[in-house]
Amino acid sequence: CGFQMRGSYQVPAQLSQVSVETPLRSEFTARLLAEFRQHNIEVVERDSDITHIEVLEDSLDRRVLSLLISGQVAEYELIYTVPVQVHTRDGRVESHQIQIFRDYQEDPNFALAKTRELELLLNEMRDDAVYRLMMLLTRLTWE
Amino acid sequence: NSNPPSLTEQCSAPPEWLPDPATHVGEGVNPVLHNAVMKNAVMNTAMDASVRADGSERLEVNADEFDMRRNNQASFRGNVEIRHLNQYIQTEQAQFNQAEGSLSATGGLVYTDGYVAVRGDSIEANTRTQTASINQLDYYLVGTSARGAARGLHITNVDNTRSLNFNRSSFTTCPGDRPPWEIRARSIEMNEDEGWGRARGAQVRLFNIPVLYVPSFSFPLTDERKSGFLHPTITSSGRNGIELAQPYYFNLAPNYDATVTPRYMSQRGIMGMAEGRYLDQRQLAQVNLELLDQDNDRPDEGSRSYWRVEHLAHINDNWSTYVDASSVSDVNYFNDFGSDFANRADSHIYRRGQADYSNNRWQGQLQIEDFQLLGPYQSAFRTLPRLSVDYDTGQPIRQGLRLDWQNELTHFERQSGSPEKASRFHTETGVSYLMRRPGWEWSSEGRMLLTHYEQTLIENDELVDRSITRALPELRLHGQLNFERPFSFSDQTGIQTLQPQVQFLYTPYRDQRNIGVYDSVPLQDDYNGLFRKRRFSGLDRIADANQVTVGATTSIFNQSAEELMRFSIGQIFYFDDSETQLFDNSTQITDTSSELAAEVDFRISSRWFFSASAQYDSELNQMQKSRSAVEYRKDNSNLIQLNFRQVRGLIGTETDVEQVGMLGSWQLRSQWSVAGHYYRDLGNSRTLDANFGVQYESCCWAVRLSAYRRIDRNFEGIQSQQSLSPAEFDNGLSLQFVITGLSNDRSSLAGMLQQGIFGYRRPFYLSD
Amino acid sequence: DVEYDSQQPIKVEADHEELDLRANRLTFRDNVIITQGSLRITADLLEVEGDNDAELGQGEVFVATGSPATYQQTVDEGVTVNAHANEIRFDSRRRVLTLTGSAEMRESGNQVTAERITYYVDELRATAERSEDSDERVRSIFQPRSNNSSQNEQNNGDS
Repeated sequence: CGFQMRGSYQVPAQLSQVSVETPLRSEFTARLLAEFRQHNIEVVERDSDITHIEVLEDSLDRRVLSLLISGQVAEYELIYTVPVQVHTRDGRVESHQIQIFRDYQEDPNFALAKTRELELLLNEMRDDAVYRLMMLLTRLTWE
Repeated sequence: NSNPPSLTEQCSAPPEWLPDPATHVGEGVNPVLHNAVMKNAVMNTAMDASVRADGSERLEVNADEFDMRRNNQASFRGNVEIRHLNQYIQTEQAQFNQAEGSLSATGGLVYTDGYVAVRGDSIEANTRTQTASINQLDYYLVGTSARGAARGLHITNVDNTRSLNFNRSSFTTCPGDRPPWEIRARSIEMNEDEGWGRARGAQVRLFNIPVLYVPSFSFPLTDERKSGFLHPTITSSGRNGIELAQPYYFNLAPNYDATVTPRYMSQRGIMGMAEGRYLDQRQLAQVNLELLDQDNDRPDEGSRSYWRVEHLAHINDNWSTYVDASSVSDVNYFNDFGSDFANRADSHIYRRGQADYSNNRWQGQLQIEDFQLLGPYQSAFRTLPRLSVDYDTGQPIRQGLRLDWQNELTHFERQSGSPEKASRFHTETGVSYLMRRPGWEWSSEGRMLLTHYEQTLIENDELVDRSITRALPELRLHGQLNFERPFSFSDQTGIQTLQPQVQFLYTPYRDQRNIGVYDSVPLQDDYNGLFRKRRFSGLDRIADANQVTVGATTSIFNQSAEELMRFSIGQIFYFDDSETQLFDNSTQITDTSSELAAEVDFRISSRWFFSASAQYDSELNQMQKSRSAVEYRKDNSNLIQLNFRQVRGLIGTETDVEQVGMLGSWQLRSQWSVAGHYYRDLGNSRTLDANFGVQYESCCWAVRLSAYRRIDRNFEGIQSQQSLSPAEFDNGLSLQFVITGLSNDRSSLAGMLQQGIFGYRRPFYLSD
Repeated sequence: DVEYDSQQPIKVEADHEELDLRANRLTFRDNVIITQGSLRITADLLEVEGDNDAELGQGEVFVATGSPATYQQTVDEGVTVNAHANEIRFDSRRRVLTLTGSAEMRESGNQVTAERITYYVDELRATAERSEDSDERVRSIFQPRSNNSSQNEQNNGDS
């Protein structure tokens, strides 16, 4: 059916070196830097001909998905948003809102346990957001 | 025919008295942006190259008649145009004394500098000190719809940022002579750089009728900071009657400000709301206070209040602290008054205080967590404290080992002072080996977990001390293949990727029925859960597992590598039953395979989107859970979405959910628009939340009339665990009057969509 | 300065000189240079017209034309005025200079361009008007006095 194994690591030349600007101590950036290391992408000081990634403050929002008959929330949808601005080498500035969604069922009788679940989901969403940013970077620096 | 100018263009159109060449100076530059442009660009007005001298501070005058005396006193007459730096003056006659640098003009003039445009009687300016005084004028802030009149204006310029000082002046954002709202003040100061204005001895006029006197207040000129004074909202609701909220915004300093909002509710009384914010490089702090002293709707009860403190401090590169604590006076507070920090239907408030340490290998955290429950629920466990210390060597580049060692010491206590409490020490260490190639990836991971509990439990009504130790290994093998092929559709050629995954997970059974449940609960079993190592959250239940998960994801990318479609599907196959349970055997796994979980997001065209996810139980042959949404979206203000949600038996309950929702917003003509949403609970055949509104918007105010029906949750006085009666509803009409026009963005319709309890979420958000 | 110049004799040099006694007109042609103290006018053609006025009696008016005709005079220490125009009329007795035809005058950085500029040499006063036919208006440019240390602006020759 025409499928063959991917040949290259799909990391364009423009991404061999990048510079990153990020809020202090952001968990998302820690995971992003780890992902860069895995793809052998070197993080350097900002320079005119280096792709520059500006990560802004990430945020976690909630939206009600369904209610119980008593009017109490049954399910939430978690919306994790990371606004980023990518300054490509040819001077373009692309700003994007990376958004990841997860369903999350409320259980008010186990508040602490549900908070642990929320932390677990948040870390999974951060990893997804990092993967999504990598795909965005690949797309923007695609020759 | 070119389509009619948008509302924004109409509103911020320059007044007719501003002559065309003048608009050329810094035309349409919004104040904040203007400042950046002026700081470094030399303003090159109609100057041909040969004559241009090097100095940019020259003054150029065009006139019909010119007369220059010995002591360089020059006078001009006959449509005189003066240009100096970025200032432009047009008048009938003017005098300029070069020795002192003083310029004056009488008999009417127009002045502009790209920031403010003024038509006045006379002007005294000094080109050297860059100051100017104009009297009997009306003015207009270039690029916005802010305008007004004044008896005098004094312009000063400090290192290239202009500040204006009007006296006996008016301010409005409504064009035309009878502005719906206007401020008249003894003095108004505006600063171009900071983007805010301050009025003293001010009087608010609605349709030229004085309504309110305010000694001093500051208001935003751009939307750089919080929208402040000029956004009163008037709404009506069944619960609170007529509501009028009028925020006063005090810009105390560049890094701290305060907002005080008296909020009048006809059925309840006057609530005071206050917010303070502080920010510098090392820390951020925000305090919120809300107090309704006497609630006329509930006279026999005390005052109703809410407070909130949030503080983040970066002590140095390694240490930081964070506190987020808030509290409400009663469980129905959010339901009755709403809040920026919580949804009306929230079931608890989470409070925490923590100190974090991190360097590249080690991470530590000391944390205290607490809850305020907003309903008759089982009292929650607090962590007093929770100390965690983790070490991690980090993922290798292409191939190699990774070590991690995680420790946690936690002391649990129930909130209601019940004697149940426990201390838990947990340590786990893991080694994993990764091999990654372009076409495939393989990782194997082995872990050892050791946990010790010192508990005080209630067993058949008496207190028992029980200490338990649990040790168990965990093995995980994961492989993934990456396939690609060219894929052409309509006229484009893109690529399609296919990524199958397989994971084997083995954890032996340990009897954990004597361990209390402190922070464990069954995790959601959806597509994202298929490849998780654990099926319970926290550490009190680590489920035995002997299973393999098989899954695959395929995506289609167009020529510019945008992801148009993504489809994922997967299932877990169990070799043994998983006997670990939370309280009873309902959380055990006895089937041979999990539900088949699938997700699809599909951007059908530039305006049509489809998104769905489902979990199908192949043994019971029924759909356990599904959601789907289809949307037609022209832009942020013109969209229609239909969504459907179905859940058979929420975890741990017998309740089913079957819901359909429809929402949309549409711009009819440049100033009229409609928006609405409707959520129906098919299971209990009742409307959950509905809202339909019409909005009329003009330059400086907007009015929204909407009919709504929303859940009115009332848990007052219900004891814990008592069965909850079906909620009643609050229906009503809401009239919202909003003052707008300061910043250029119109109060978008999406705001109306967000207000509903269900809010609005774009169904498909993959690539843009 | 201006006072001293007005006492000096007016000298004219040129390649050709022509005297028309009947019309009481004197004409100089090619490389004409008129000097009076520090005042200096250059032109391609100079016509000297007799002009008798009731009170002032007999006098001459020098009409110099060139492409362009130029004028230069040191009006104060270190302050020279220079100008050019298609035609420069110099009325020596009334001490008035009239420049017409894309006239331009410079003095310590300041500059005026117009169709017609009238310069009262003794009062050091210049006036200019927009001509009826062309819509070209009077344009004046003033250098900021405070930092006008560089004097080079002043003695650069005419274009």
